[in-house]
Amino acid sequence: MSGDLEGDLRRALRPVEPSAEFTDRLLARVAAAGRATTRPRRTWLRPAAVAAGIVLAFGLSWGTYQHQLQERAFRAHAELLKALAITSRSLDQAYQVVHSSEVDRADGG
Amino acid sequence: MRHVFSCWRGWIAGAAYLVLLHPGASFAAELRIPDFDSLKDKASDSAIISLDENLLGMAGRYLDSSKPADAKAKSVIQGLKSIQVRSFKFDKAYPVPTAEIAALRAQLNSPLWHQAIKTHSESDHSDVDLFIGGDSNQARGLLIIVTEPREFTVVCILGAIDLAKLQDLEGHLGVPKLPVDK
Amino acid sequence: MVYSLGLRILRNRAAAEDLTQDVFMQLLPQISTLASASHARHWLCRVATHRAIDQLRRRPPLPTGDDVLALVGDTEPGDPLLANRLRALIGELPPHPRAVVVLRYQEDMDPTEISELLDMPLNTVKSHLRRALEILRGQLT
Repeated sequence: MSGDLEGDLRRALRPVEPSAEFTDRLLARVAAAGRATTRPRRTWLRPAAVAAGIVLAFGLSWGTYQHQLQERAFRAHAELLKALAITSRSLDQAYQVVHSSEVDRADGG
Repeated sequence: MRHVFSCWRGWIAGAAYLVLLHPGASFAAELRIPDFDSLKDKASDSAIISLDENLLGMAGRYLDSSKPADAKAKSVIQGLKSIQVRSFKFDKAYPVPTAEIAALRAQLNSPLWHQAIKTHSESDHSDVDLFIGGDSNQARGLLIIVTEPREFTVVCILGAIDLAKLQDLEGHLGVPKLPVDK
Repeated sequence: MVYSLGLRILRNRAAAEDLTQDVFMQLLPQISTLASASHARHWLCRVATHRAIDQLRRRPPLPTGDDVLALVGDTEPGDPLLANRLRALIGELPPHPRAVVVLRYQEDMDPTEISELLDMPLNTVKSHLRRALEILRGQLT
């Protein structure tokens, strides 16, 4: 012990950031839920307050938050195209083997 | 020699006709698709993709509807709950992750999942398994496991999958014509 | 802030993530009632702490992963073993004193702010802090 217990406690309890993956997930979920939530009154406050909450809760600047959201969306877009391409290839393989099997059966009478 | 599960045509065709409607509460929300960590280091190329509904929505906003490929992709992902892909390519033979595949298959031990295609090619040393989730009226999930000598792929799509739309992607993303009787 | 509070009070990473997500989802419908960023921060802190305390009181403690007790990273200043020990000891405090200590030393709130946040008399907050420091000091010597 250093003799400064309160200082030791502050050092031991330094704020911890969640994983980037979790932050991504949460930001996406909050953004989606924010879009889905409609309130007739004082709607102009919503984006500002959500942003403020996120900024403060994660220690991010507003610019960083916007940047992270955009980065994640770009990444999701690229991943989506890749996922669809892989899916199509896998379906193609399934089709090829099934199709050739059908041809085999037809040829065999 | 290839062994083909006989009911494949019914399932595929049925699934294509059914615009696979919104998932019901009783259908398993998510399948836990392993990351196949044991393969990552050995693979020369890998793709681990997990897109939930929110991320699909974000991605969808960056699809440009004025471009045919993007417009069709946008149409395909509408109503999807998630897309998960694990794909690995290898320079040489790799150990097939049988335990993880077994764990994945164990999650399909439910009346809501049916194996539509099961093939094994001894000449190619490849296996293709295709499962469709849902009941006889509604399909709500698609799981494909492809095992080849130099490649291993798992694709899981949950939600309102429209295989007919997926088929329309042909020529844009390399999606093949499916055996669908229109 | 929200995640960190959850992690320090609940001592379980998955539980802290669930708590963080729940708190943010709970924030959305309340947005129109919050006038400023500082209100949002106060609201988040208040809800996160109350939920964490409730969870601790309702459910048996969740297993603590080594990574939760362990260092934030190699760059952690001070004595890392001492920091680990302190975090473990704080985790053994009852829910309210634990929350008071976390709010005081992680969030740097003064006793008056903590009293208001936890709806707890100021003297009780001070008493929890004093007692907690005594316990920690006693365990460390």
